[in-house]
Amino acid sequence: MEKQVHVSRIGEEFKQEMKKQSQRERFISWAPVGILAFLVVLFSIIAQGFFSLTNLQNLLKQLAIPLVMSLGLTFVILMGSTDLSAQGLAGFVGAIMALMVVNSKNANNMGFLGILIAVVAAILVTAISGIIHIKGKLPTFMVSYAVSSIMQGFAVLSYKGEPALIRDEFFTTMSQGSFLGIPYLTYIALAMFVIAYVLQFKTRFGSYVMAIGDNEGIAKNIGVNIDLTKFKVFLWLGVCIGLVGFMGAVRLGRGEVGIGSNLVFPAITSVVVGGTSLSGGKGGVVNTLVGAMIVTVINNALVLLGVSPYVQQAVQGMIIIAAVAISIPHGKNLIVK
Amino acid sequence: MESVKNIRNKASMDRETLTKIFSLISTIVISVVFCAMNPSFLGTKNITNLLRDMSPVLVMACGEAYVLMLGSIDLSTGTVASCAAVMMTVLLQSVGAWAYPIVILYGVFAGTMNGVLHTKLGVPSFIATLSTQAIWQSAAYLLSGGQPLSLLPAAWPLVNWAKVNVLDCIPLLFLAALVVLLIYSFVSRYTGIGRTVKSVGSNERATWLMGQNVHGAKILAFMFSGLGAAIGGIFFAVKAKSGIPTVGVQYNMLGIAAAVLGGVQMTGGKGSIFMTLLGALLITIIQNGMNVVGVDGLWQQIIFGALLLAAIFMNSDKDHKGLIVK
Repeated sequence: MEKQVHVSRIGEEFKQEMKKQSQRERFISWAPVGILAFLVVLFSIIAQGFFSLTNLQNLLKQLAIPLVMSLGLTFVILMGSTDLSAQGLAGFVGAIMALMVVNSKNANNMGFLGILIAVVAAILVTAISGIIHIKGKLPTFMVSYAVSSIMQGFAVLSYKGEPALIRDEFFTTMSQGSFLGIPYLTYIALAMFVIAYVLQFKTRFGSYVMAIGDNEGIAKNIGVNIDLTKFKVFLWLGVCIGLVGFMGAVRLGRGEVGIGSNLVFPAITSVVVGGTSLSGGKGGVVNTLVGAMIVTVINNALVLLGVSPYVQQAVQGMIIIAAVAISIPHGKNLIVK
Repeated sequence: MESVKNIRNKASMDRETLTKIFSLISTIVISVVFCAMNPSFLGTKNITNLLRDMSPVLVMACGEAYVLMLGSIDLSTGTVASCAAVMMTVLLQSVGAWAYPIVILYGVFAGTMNGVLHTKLGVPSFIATLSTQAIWQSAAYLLSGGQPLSLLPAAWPLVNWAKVNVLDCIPLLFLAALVVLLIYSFVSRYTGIGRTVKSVGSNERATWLMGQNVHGAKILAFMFSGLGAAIGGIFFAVKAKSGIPTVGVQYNMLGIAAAVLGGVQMTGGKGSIFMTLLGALLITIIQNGMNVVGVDGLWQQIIFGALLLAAIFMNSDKDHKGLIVK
């Protein structure tokens, strides 16, 4: 009789413990959304003009490029890798695209074909760096750094001196036009988000990526084609970088190597702030959407608050550390690199 | 059974030494190529230049190597160096030679802050150091007013040692960097906490279970990285007699590349601090050599990237079939 009571008590305790744990997990997974809500409320109170329709439009516009970049990096990070190649590659895409459409430097007028060629070039480059990583067994961090340096060089080389000004009408409409109050570029970003969502949750590829990030050895043993999956991730990254290069050229109106600067590290930050683990296997594209929103809101509000540009970076850094410290799981046995 | 094991051990040892030698071989090959293109590459004057250019890379790389050995990363070394260079220029004019210990202390503080943020808050080192990188960049801009500061001639006697060459070709600056390297290498090899850094990199949980001070080792590694970066910043300042608020930015990645070329693995647990010397040498030779040979400025970045890729490929560990590389 007594034994039975004892056993049932253990069962009860176990149940409660599990409940507590799942509650904690749920709390952690909602933390980024909480942080976003907190920041929006905070900035609405302290920053003049933050909570307005025009600023909402601004925010949506500013969100577009970082969101696409972070969506590309999300899958790379889910595998536990990192990629820095966008720094040079996005600039390269923008530069050659500007030279192929109607521009100030030459008589080319390839229109959509030019855009397509530039995007395909980006996919080719990431495919090559993917192959170097997979077959050469070199860390993505170093490979992508070298590739970024090479592509930066080619970008500068392509226009030699003065960057080409884009005179194509399509680019002007893209940069200024909007539909239902939402800028065109934001539609592209949202479409990419939907595609990324489908890729992660509705295809086998998405599960494979998660499996590789969680434990590559196990994934290999149950028959996942590791190399092919990794290669596909790099193709997806190429598509995203290509689009980022295009969107950067649209926003700048020039094909300059600078399109790619200050793009990669904020994007990785967005991915992590959203709750995706840098060691791979946890998180996903929905987290990235929230993370990109957090970073964009911080940037936008700091400008509205009139914080000096020298200090902006530092304030942003402090907010990011605080946000990440709150939103990631804590524990004694947890290993964080 | 025993003998098979022995042979296997021996074979893997040979491979390890081979990987080490590869760095040396690639350095020699690249030097010979540059030398064939322009014989003055190995002239006394250029060697002095090369060693002087190499000094900041070397100190920053051997600090970074500590953090890489943990399997973590430090992205703040570049801006810590920039900030240190600016601080140095400002302080040399106001407090004289006290500037040296103050800036060194600043480096220790910056590194320890990274370590504490990473270990106590549980923030991944990538994000923690990325954020402190932004903080120190802002500090450097604020301190310099956003413009390069030049050192007033009154303070020149305090930095003239950087111009001194021992035996006519070895700069004192390089010897100072070498001393830092030897101390770092000694701590890593012969002290308990230095070895703990490496063991945290290969298996953190096991190290913790063994009762080692995991957090202490991590903070030490980050402290060394910050210290190395600050010394690098001092070198920048005394070399150019000026404090430029963006001087260190690209040296962050160069330091990481040098450490990786020296055989430190980014997943942690492998490599030696001393071999960073070869990695730093290789990086500097590539950069310096392109200038000496007269590579067109537009092509330099492309060739640098390609050579870096080739060097990393030659140095990488390719013999483990099941090796997981991220």
